[in-house]
Amino acid sequence: MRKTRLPVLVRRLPQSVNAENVRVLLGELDSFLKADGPRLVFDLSQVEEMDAAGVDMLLRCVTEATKRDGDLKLAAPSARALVILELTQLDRLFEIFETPAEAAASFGVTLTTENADEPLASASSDGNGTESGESTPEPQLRSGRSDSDVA
Amino acid sequence: MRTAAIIIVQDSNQSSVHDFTGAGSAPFGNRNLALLDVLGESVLNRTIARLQRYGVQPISVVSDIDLAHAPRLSWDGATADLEYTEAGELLASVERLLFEYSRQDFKALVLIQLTAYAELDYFDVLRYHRDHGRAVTTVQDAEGALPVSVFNLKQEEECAELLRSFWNGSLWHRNRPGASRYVFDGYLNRLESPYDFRRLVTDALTRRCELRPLGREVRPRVWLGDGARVDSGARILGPAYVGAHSKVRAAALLTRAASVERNCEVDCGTVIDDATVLPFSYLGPGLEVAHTLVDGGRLLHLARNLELEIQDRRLLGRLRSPSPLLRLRDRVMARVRSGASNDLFAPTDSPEPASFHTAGEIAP
Repeated sequence: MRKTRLPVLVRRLPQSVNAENVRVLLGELDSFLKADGPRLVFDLSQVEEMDAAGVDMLLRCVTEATKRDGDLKLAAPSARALVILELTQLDRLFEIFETPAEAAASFGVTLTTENADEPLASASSDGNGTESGESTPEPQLRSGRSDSDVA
Repeated sequence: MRTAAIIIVQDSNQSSVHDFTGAGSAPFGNRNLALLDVLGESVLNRTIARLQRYGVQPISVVSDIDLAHAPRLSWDGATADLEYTEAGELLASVERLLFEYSRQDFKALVLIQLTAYAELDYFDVLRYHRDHGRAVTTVQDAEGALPVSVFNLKQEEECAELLRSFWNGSLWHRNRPGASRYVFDGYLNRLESPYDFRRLVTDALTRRCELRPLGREVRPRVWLGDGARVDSGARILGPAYVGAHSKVRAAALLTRAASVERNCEVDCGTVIDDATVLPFSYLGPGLEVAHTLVDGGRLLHLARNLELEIQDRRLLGRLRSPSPLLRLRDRVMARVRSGASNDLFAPTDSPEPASFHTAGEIAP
């Protein structure tokens, strides 16, 4: 039996993660999070500010992802982002990696360096077990590019 | 020996004006840390109290900060005269006061530029000054000069010149004619950075210095200020301090020399570990505040040397300053208490018993 899985989605969060842009971000991720087994990586390297809405968004995303047998991992947090994660104790809830590539690798896929620098990238593993990374255009989070794994 | 004192409180970049009067807060690096509360009282108030204990009276505070109208500053106008002046006029004001004290037949003047916390024995300093009979006595420790000098007001003209040297720093030059040098080996914190400020708090809570928290020691090394409220489900592991009228809600934890200054609120489940929360700060529920100074929405992470401002009332925020009437009441109560005991460092009896629940786990 073959089960279709979405690629790992790597999303670089903006400098300010606040109530204003959280709604847009959630809107963009909504359909991805409602798919089966969503695997997400948030790249926090640019994040300088995060308010309670940003914290809520992280919690909401991880809740939605785990509910559907997926996960959300965090990568490359800036010093400021890390202080906020520690302050809100989210550092205990999330797996945090030094780079998006390492976070993607923890899902069993590889993200190439050039893709890791993109604001939005997805990484996937092909059916033969060879891993590759691709970038996707910003709004097309669900581009229909899904790979297959043998369940 | 009749001795007066002038304390100069300088804040030329005006950051503290914004800090103590507005809703925001200036970066910690721009502040005069001697004005921030340390376990219930600022270094300024503690310096005034120390001078009074040694019989130095009157005391004038010359400042370019309007201390009398700063609602978040613990300033008791009854203990010292306050002269508020423009930053550029400070020297002229000090000079004028020096001549006034000289005319009033004071023998000596202690001049302090308030940038450090020093546990000076003023009896000893004044005796040394009298014995050496010089125009000025400077104070220094093993690491260098302290911004404290004693002027001989009998030598008025020389004092005026030495005052200008005090101002430009040349007073401490070695072999300065007319100056004797008193060597101090007591407790000193130069308050040069927020790290020093936090060290002063931990030194006081662990009794490495004479500075004592303002409040009652309800358990060994756990102090509560007047009207502090700790929920029965909260835990306080000493040494720790909760300032006057602060609230610590259920399941909160204070540990490793945590200090929560007056009029703060620590919401449910929040952990304060090796951190200081400055007055009128709100900490939202479920936070972990470690190795940090917090002032309203501003947070300085001491371990990472990183300062950030969080503009979200649900995480961190500034609580409203009390009305002028409440402040007046607090001042009156403070005066009543100080009338009962002249020692301002003595633990005070709360006029309204702190609603401290003995059921709460407070371990030494």
